[in-house]
Amino acid sequence: MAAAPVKPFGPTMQPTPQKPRPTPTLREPGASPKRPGRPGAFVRVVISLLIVWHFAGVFLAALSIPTSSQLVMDAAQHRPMQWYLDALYMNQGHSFFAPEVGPGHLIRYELFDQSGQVMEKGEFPKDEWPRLRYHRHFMLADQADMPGSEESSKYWQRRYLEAYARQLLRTNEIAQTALVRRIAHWPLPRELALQQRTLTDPEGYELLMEVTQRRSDLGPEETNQSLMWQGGQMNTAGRWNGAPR
Amino acid sequence: MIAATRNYMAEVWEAWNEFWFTPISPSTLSAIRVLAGAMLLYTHLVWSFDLNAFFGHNGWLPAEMMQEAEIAGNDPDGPGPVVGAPRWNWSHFAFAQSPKMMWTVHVVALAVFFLLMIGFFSRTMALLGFLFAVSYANRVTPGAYFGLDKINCMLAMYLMLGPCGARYSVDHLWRLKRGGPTEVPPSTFANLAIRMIQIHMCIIYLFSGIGKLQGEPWVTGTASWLSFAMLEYQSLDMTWLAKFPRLLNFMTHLTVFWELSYCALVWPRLTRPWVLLMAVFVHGGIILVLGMPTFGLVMLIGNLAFVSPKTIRKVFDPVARRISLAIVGKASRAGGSD
Repeated sequence: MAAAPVKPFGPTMQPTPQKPRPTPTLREPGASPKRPGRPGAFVRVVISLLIVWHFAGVFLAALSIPTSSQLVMDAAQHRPMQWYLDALYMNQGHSFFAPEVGPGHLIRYELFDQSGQVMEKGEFPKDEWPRLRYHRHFMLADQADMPGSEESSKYWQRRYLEAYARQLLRTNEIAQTALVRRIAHWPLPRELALQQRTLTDPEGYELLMEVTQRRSDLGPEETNQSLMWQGGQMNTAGRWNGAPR
Repeated sequence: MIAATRNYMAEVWEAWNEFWFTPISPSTLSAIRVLAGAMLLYTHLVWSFDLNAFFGHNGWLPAEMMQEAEIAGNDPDGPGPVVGAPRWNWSHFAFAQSPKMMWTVHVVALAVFFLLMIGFFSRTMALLGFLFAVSYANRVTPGAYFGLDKINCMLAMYLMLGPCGARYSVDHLWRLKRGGPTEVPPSTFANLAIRMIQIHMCIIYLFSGIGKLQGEPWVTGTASWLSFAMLEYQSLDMTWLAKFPRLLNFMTHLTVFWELSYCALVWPRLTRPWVLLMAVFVHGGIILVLGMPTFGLVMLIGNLAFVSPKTIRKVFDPVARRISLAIVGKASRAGGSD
């Protein structure tokens, strides 16, 4: 019986062929070789500077979420960076569901006729279809606020709710008064879920603010939207009492 | 010492060039164009239900109030401005004021998104699509926007940088019909656009993870439960998970770890498939459970930037080939060489 061939190992092992490794070459700094399809060096330098500028902006925008350093806030909130971020809709952070989760918000409203009787009750978001439409209405309820001091937060919440009440009056020409409530709906604690309490438990709802608008509050319909949008000329700061973020 | 430094700088510059300026197949960028175009079209089609209510001068979000709100704080989770500083939140709704005009522009915008999706004058449509997407988003920020708008605008912005209509497009069919080559050459600007989407996705996930670390529920592992227990978001009842607190903790920690590590682990070939698989789970959960199918899908479209052109071609080419053969009688080789 022939002995099985012994596999050589150790120092006597034949060297296995290896992939040829590229020999490092000394290059002149900044003079990377032109490869097919690559733009010229000057174009690459210009594009590289633009890339650095662009991602500095993306980074600063996300980093400047309060609370942030004054250095970062200054860099992100002053020209030209702020205009760049504004123009490209990059003036935002990315803190999805963070740092806190919830509460969700909803708007409940009642419309009253001339005799003061409730003629319509409703809430949103509720049954809007498709789901994206539901979500837009959900965001109306969720974003009817502005971070900042308690005073400014209340100011902005009132502004948004008054606008919603006026919109409800516009869509229902018979209604004379609209009462709008903004409700926070807190997530059900897990312990209560284990006690068979449901997500619609009344204890989870908290009234944040209610406003009333009458038909007389509608005022004359504005016709020239561009005056509001082109400006930057209006002394809007004077009308706002909140603290800078 | 000086020579070593010079050599090091040269290597850094070469690595930078390799990363940004190596021509690649435009297949991935083209696939992103198709899907992002579809998402932009759908997003803005849904606005049609309430165009006057959301974008009208005196709708839910009156123009005057929005102007003030933008100056006071452009975005609830973004950089707040110096009070009173003028912002550049431009929107065509400043000029398209009457309902008739608004609807006319809206129909044009929908046409642009449709043409972007099918790839007809793709680069031009990507530019116009970006302008329209930002214009709509600016008008409802802050008020009715959310993550979907941010990612829509981001994808549209990068699509216009590269040859997004090189494949899976009417442009490509048109070139074939006129006797052009069936194979599309690699493109530096396709790489540039894809790299920018990749880096932007990394920054999004990094700051999303950092933001979560600042919240107690994300640190203590209860955030997953709280997400499932918010009725307004719920599209699938997951409250049965209340009986499994450790699982809820694990899901929370895994989400934070994944978001924080995404920017590092998505690059090596060894870990990339796992990171992308996790993206499918996380965003799939958002689609199925948290009632945000559009946001979940658009994030997955962004993640496609990390899928190689070869893999993209395996999926897209068979369909594209059939369409091409039916219309112009010739087509690119399915799952081609790139």
